[in-house]
Amino acid sequence: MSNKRTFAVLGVSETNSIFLAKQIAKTNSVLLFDHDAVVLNTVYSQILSEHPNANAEMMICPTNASWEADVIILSNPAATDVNLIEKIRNVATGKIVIFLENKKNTINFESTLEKLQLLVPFSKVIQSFESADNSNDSVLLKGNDKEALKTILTLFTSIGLKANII
Amino acid sequence: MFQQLFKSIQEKVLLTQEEMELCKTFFIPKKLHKKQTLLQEGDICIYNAFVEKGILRSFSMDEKGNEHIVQFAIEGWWITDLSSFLTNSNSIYTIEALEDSELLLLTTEAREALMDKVPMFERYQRLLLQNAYIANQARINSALTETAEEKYTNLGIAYPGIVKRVPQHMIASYLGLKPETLSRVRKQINNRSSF
Repeated sequence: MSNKRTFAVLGVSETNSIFLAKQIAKTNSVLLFDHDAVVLNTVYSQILSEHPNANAEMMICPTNASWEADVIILSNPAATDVNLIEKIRNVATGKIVIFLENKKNTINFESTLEKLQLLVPFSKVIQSFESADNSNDSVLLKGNDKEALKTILTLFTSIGLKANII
Repeated sequence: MFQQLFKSIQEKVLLTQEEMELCKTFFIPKKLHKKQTLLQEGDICIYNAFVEKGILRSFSMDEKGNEHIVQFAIEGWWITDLSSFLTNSNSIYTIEALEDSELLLLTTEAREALMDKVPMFERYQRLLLQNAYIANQARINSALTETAEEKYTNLGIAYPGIVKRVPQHMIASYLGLKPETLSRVRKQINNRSSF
């Protein structure tokens, strides 16, 4: 299918989701959503000023963003927002859902992954978290679907991230 | 989100409520904007797409850059490059949305798994393929034996929804006619009907 994928980034108030949105927008389509319209506008403007040809769009609805997307990326606050997850659940079926874990906030990686998987049972949930050096461009990936992990590893590597599967 | 799909399925086979709920878990919901592509020529076609809303076309392009439309798909229809989808080979077609569209996508793996879990879905797929084969034969016959006017008239009778929604130059491409030929044919038909 078309090699150019569409990514929905839900929650753009954290540095890791902003960084990822910027990197992805260089080569793929990015649909941005945040409950805070000011934050959303700021990040959108940043992306376009840094990459004028970026294919980025602001979305007012997480359901539509996820419906259009091939891959859904959830920031740390978005992944714990049960209302938001409920809104995207039906349109996330069969899609890869990446949960950006902020390592320093995490107590138990396993339970977060499992909890999210229960909320979107027919999606392929992948947990992405910063590796030990806490840099945005170095991430570790974890998930139960090997194909989905391989897809995201390839994607992240292609956009300049140092990614590893654990 | 699944209205058209279950309408299409129930026209051919009967599914229980339980089977319908199970079906839903195998399809990937996807929205496409007008002019967005689902499949790009040269890529492997990994989806069989059911159209819940909107209209799509599949086409190939020759060396001179001319587009040749092989299929349109409106609500309730399926669209894919079957050869690429089933054999994992590179596609010679591009599939593009002509309107904002809502699709339900089925991967090869999901299709196999669904047919395994819901045997009636396999029967549904078999009936679809059977109908597609008959339609293709009719199209070949039309291309070989009908005049330009017959081709256009018969398309309008068989698929009025397509003729009304698709630009005329695309209809011409689908019928293997030059746009100016189709324009002349339409004029002749209009002149006759105005008398």
